[in-house]
Amino acid sequence: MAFGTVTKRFGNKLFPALSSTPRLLHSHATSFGFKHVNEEEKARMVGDVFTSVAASYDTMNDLMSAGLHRLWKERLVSMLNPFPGMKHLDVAGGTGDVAFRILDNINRVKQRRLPNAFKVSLESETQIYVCDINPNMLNVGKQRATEKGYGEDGSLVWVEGNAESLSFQNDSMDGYTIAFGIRNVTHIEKVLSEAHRVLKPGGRFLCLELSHVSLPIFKELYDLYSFSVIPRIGEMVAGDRESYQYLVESIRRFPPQEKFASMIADAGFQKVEYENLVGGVVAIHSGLKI
Amino acid sequence: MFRTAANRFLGGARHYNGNIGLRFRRPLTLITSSRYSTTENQPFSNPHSIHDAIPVSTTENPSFNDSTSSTSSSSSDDDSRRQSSKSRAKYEDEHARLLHASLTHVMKLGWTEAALMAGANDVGLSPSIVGSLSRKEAALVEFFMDECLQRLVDRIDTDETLKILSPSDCISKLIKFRLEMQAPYISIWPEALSIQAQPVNVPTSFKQRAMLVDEIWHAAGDKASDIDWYAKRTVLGGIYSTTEIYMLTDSSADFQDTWTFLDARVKDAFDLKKTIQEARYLAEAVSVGLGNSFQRFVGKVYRR
Amino acid sequence: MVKVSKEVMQKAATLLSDFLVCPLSKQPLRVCEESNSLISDAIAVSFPIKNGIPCLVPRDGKILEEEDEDASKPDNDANLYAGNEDDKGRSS
Repeated sequence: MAFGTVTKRFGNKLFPALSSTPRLLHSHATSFGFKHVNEEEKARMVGDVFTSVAASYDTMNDLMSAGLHRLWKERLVSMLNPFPGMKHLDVAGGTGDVAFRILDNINRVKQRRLPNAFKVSLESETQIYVCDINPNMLNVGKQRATEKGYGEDGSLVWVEGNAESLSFQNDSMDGYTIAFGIRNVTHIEKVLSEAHRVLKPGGRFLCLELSHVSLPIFKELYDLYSFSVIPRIGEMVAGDRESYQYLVESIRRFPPQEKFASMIADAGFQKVEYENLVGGVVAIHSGLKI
Repeated sequence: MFRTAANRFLGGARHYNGNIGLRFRRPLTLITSSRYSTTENQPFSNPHSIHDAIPVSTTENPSFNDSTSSTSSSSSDDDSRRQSSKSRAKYEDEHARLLHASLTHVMKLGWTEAALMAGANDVGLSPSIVGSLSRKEAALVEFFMDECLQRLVDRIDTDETLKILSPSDCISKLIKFRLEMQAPYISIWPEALSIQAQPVNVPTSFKQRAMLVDEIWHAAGDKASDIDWYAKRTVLGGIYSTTEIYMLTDSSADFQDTWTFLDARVKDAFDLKKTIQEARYLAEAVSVGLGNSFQRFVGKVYRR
Repeated sequence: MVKVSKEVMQKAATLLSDFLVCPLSKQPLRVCEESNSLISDAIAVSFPIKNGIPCLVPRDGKILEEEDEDASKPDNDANLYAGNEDDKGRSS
């Protein structure tokens, strides 16, 4: 908690960091996978990773998770329980996977519920904001949206932004999701507090992330798969072993389920819960802003 | 509201037979995944029992809902329990407010998510909160049942005339009073009943009805805890359910036919009881046929 | 649901400024059509719009050097969080 307030104060003072040589918040080392890097470097290095994987992001996801990532995202969206007329923010969702699923879900709900039309939905339009720090990912997403016909009614808005410093008003979002993005940020606490800021009272925070497996034998198999197989696939399919090595390592460095849940609670969320999928390979954490 | 009734139950003025307690344990695992929750959200559960019901380890729960402590539970248990009760109470209060406001929309929209979202709008919360309710429509129905039970309990506490009535009259009066609460919702009550009958909701609805029946018997002056206990609760449960269902199709003014039906059923049950031999017969038959499975069922339900 | 492209662009731009705020000061933004950017008057920074996507990453913002803005003075920046209203009053 103190950590959070300290960084905030530093942020205020060092704010003139908008020029080409940004001065930084504080330069304690942070982790880039298993490597030790300076904080200022981390954002850039992560950026490089995603720039290079953007084009083949979806293919790689399919290969690495054997197609399971689709199910996990479906589960995330069903937990969110979207409704027509909602304002939703999907962070680090550059290629639009989660956003498209939410729109699909809302359209299904609309069709089912037409006889009992809920008044508010008629008054306000559904708006899904997709925020990502990487413009390449957003461009890929925007293109996919056009191809598949999503967002033609203005329901999808693409914004380039930093999850640690969102460009949305306080209390403006009904829902906030971040799928496979939070382990790449430099300051998890800032992301969580920004999420808390932009959510309306009653709004929900949902985070889908690769997490820690504790079941004994399964853990060994998972480690073997992660460290041997994935970077090799990355090399063969995307031509980029290093990026996938980073991805795999960053999973191990991310806090385990319980610690992350306590961080979410510290940011001010209530009813913090998590659900393990596939024995902990993936976890969906959720919190409620009251 | 939940807690006052819970305290009444556990407060000691009455005792229960066997293993019926108020600790409702939530299943740890869902079908495909393992689930962890920092809080339990049960109707009528004693605040202290919530801590027992949380699985896994005992060290982590207090801090999760408390925004001021980031490290865990090295602080005293009492302290953290109080803090977590306060912040836990906060979102549960909001849920209660939401459910209460949603009830006003139920006539138009049914026991549905739409009613819940309309309720959320009324209290100024985002409709997203509905996603955080477990078993959404059931939560609404169960809230209504709890509210009705609370009103019944209040009536029992304040109404002096109940004490001078005979047990059968008292029971009739109380069941009538309770069913009248459902009268405004009678057109959509079948929907509520079908929601309560869904397998996932049955444990809670069963428990709520058991508590209702118990309250009524207790008010009628029964403090027994012997084998007849099961028989009596079962019989009363039967009377209540059949009357409830009769009411669904009753089109008489003020449900007059229903009350006539109720009185007849109560009279039958009490006539039966007058004969000791037949009472013993009934008790044995019920306990053998029903009691075993009843106990097993209850044991399963409450062990969770 | 406008189909004409120019109007769509304009509408899109207004839509953006309606719900987006400056990521640093959290104050409203205004659309500048000539430079195709979003301006944060509170801290006198402009954020570009590339390909229809507004780039509101703090490090991408460009400090504006306008005559009646005090943005060029470094010591003012530190006060901006505390006194946005004051700055606006002074500079107008």
